[in-house]
Amino acid sequence: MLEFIKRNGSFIGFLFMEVLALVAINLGDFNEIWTILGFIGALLLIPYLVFFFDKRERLSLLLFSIPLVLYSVFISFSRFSFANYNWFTIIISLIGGLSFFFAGASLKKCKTFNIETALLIFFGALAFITTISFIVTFANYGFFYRGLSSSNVIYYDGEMFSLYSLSLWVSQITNANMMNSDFAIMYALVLSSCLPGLLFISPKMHLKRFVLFAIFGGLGLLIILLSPKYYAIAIFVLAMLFAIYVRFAKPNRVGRIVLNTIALVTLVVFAIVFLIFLLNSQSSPSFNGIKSFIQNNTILNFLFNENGFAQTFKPVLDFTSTNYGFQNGGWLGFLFGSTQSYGGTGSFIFDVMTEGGFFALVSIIVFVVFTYISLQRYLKKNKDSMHVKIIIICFLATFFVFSLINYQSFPYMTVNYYVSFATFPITLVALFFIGYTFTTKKDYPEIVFEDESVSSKKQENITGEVTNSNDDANPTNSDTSSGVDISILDEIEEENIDEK
Amino acid sequence: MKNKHLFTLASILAITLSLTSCVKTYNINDYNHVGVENFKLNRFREKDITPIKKVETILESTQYFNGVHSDNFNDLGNLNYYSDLDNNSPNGYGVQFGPTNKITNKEKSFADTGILSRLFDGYTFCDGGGVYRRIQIDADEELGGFNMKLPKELDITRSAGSNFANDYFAINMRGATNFSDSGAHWLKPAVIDFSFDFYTRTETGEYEMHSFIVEDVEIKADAGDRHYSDEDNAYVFLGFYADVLNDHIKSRIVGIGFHFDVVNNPTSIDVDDPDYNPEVDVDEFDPSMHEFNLFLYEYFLPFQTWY
Repeated sequence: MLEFIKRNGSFIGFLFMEVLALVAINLGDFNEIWTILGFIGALLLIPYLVFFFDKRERLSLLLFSIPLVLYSVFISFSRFSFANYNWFTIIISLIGGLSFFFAGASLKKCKTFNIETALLIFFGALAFITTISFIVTFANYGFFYRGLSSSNVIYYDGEMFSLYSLSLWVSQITNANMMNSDFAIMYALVLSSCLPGLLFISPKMHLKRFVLFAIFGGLGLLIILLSPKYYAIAIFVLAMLFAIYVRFAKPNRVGRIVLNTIALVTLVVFAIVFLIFLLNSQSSPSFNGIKSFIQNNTILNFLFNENGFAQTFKPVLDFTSTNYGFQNGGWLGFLFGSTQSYGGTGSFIFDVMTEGGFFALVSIIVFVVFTYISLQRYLKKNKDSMHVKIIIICFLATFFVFSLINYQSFPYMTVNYYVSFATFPITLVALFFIGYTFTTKKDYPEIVFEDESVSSKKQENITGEVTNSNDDANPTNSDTSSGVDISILDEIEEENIDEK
Repeated sequence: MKNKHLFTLASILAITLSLTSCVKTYNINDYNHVGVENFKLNRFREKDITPIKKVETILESTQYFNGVHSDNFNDLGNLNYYSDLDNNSPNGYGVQFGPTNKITNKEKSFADTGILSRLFDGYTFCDGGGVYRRIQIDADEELGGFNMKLPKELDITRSAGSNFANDYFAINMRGATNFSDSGAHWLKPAVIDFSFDFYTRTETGEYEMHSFIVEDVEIKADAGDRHYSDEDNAYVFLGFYADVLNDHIKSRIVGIGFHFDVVNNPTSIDVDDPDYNPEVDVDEFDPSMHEFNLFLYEYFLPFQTWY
């Protein structure tokens, strides 16, 4: 088995990079096929979990993954799934996220796997599909179409669609479908998270990777600006500010405490607000006391009944809890998910709530908290290049924040096609990177087999340098950080020079 | 070498751009005014094509069918509104005529024809969507009716005789006035000359119009929900089989249209109407103040090969 891994490690790593690219492009919306590919890749990577992890590290990885496993189980075996999916889809939904998570964690131990190449391939694929789709969109609707023409509509198959909510998405080779523009812009926003990483790349020393990340991120930002979508811009600015802080202020103890306090307060406030919303949306007379108390207080009434946010999310809680009676689950529906979709709640939190119920919601929140802690350790301790760390963190942050306030589970306007957050392609990629960035509190010794060094040297000859542990500011080490992709580009350029 | 890359990039861009067509956008208020008082605002007033030559052919009564006043002409003419045509039947039966026979099932490009795609969406009747379901045309000589360039061309001569059962042109529509909703169906039926228009190109690239006219069809104005009985029906399902065109049109059809002339405007109230209620104030009725329009719901086109 060990022989097999040594011989094929780089191949499996490469295979998984292709899976990431295919998942990102997602042509034809064949989520299931890409998920199965990811599952096969994860199966091939199991030996890494077995042989290359320290016992204690593996244990802590398994502990880390418990909320994710629970979430996957609750969301796959929910009342919603049994009512709407067949067994195949349920299994896909169960294994999808877990496969990508564990594949990410395993590939970290693969010496021939280069995370920067993986990032370039993923963002390249994402840039490809997003740019083509938005070229089609802008060719049809014009630049700034979302901002300039709020009263403009188009007609398709007799139905009227507000231009404000539209993008065209090339989901088939010959056809561009009308997509909810919030959904399409999520792709562009995720793409733009390449840009904060540029602060950590020296264009003089690593021109090629600088240009590639600049192109991918620049395309994403350009699309957001040309559409335009204001809170996508706001999220991008926040990510950029975070990168500037890390780059120039050098994270210290005080900064970390402030950041952690903000995160903790946000979580506590979220929990309290959620609880009040929950109680306020119950129809049972035993909750009338608290409901009338809220209604009689002007400020509370505004916070929990009158504003747009409350009016959007209160019905969702009504829907999943007792308000709809026991035919839709009642408290059973609240705990284990409703049998029907609410029709797009606008936030992944509430989507998870309607699909998987309260337990799935708690699981994913715990998982997000774990991820937050793990990412902090990753930023502090991991030997990856700074720009890789920042790009991964910004990617995860922008994706989860945007999904929190605007996840559209019905991406297409003319096709009734439901995309669960659990099987959504970008979620799978995010889980892959969460797995990859998993870092324990203590450092465990790296497990290196004797033959490993020999085989990795062979790899060097084929694919270039393997390790990528250095700082860009250090010119002596800079060459060692070039990845597979970069070295190939070098060769191509040398050939070009020869031709001339 | 660099030029080669540039060329590839330019080609990809050019191909991507050429795949798309510029979508027509409308203001949200165009043709979407609700209420009788806004009746005139909803008249469809856009024309794609200005023909240089017009040829008119009057169809004989054996050449067309009318779903209301069936003369046993053929199967389509005998359709029963209640059970066969109406996909919005309150009892939930019917053969889903509109959704199964709409042209977009065969040619998806008809869905992308702007507001006129309302004519190809399979909604054969008003389903409660009101103004959002119909195209409203009037009898104005210049601006009345509609015409449009087709997203694909139709060669009627090629497939004559084949697949006969589906090869027809038909429109489902109903009459309407801006007389108040409650009283409109007491009006006596209007008498109308309908004209199906087809456009071909001349050798110099200009448009030639071929009108096929169905004369003296009676149509009632707005019966509201009463169309569920076959005898008392404001809807007209009017059409003809495609081979009628064979003798007249020799080149490809590149555009279609529809317009009408009012032969006899409804000028008096039908006191024999079973729903007539003399207690309701009908003093407001003044024929000169009101106009007769058509609400077009669905245009059925042949399922032949489109080019």
